Amino acid sequence: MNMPNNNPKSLPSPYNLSLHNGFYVFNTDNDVTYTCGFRDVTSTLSPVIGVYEVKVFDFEFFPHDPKPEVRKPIDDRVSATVIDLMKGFFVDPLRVLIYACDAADGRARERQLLFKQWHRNIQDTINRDEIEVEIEELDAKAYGCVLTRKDFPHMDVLQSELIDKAKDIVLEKFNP
Amino acid sequence: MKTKITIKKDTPTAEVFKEYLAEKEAFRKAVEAGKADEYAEQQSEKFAQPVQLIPA
Repeated sequence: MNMPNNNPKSLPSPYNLSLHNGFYVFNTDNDVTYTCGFRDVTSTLSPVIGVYEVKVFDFEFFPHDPKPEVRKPIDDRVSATVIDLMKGFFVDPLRVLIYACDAADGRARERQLLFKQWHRNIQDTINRDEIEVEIEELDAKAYGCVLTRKDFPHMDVLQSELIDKAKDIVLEKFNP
Repeated sequence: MKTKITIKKDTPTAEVFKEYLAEKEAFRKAVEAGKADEYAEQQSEKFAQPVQLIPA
């Protein structure tokens, strides 16, 4: 399966995406398999967001490299594929995408910068609001983002009900 | 725009935020270990398919 071909000429061609067990999956020329997941978190957020028919999804993707001992070259088709998936996601102007960068190897900030570069390919149509969460006195910091279409009609609602209330949302999400 | 949030340690918010990150960590570990299918069996109801793929 493929996404509609709507890539700018500057991006390399994306890999073919398939749907497998509820995840979006693609395999690279370097035999790495990426698994991408969307969690619909709308129902765990402020009901005000739902009133405006806004849908909020948490996005994450990770690689499975069966030969991690073999160093892989930089593969621009990976970012092209993730960006392509995002374009497919944003066919609906009322959708919102949030994510937190993987911090397992202590390089979450670097990923935030990397994804910022990736998003330049869609900056004409997608807004990107960075969020940095720090747990006081602990060595734990999370870098994330809220992505919306530039023509998203309820930015004021999103600002007041999602971004400004981020702490409460975290609580509501896991203690409904 | 950039928003910075500081959560006090040893608070319920800190705990649930760590839980949120732990959930992501579980997904990462499953995928990296090549066990995404097993993970999906347990967690599939949490994932949505908002992107329509078209035949190649």
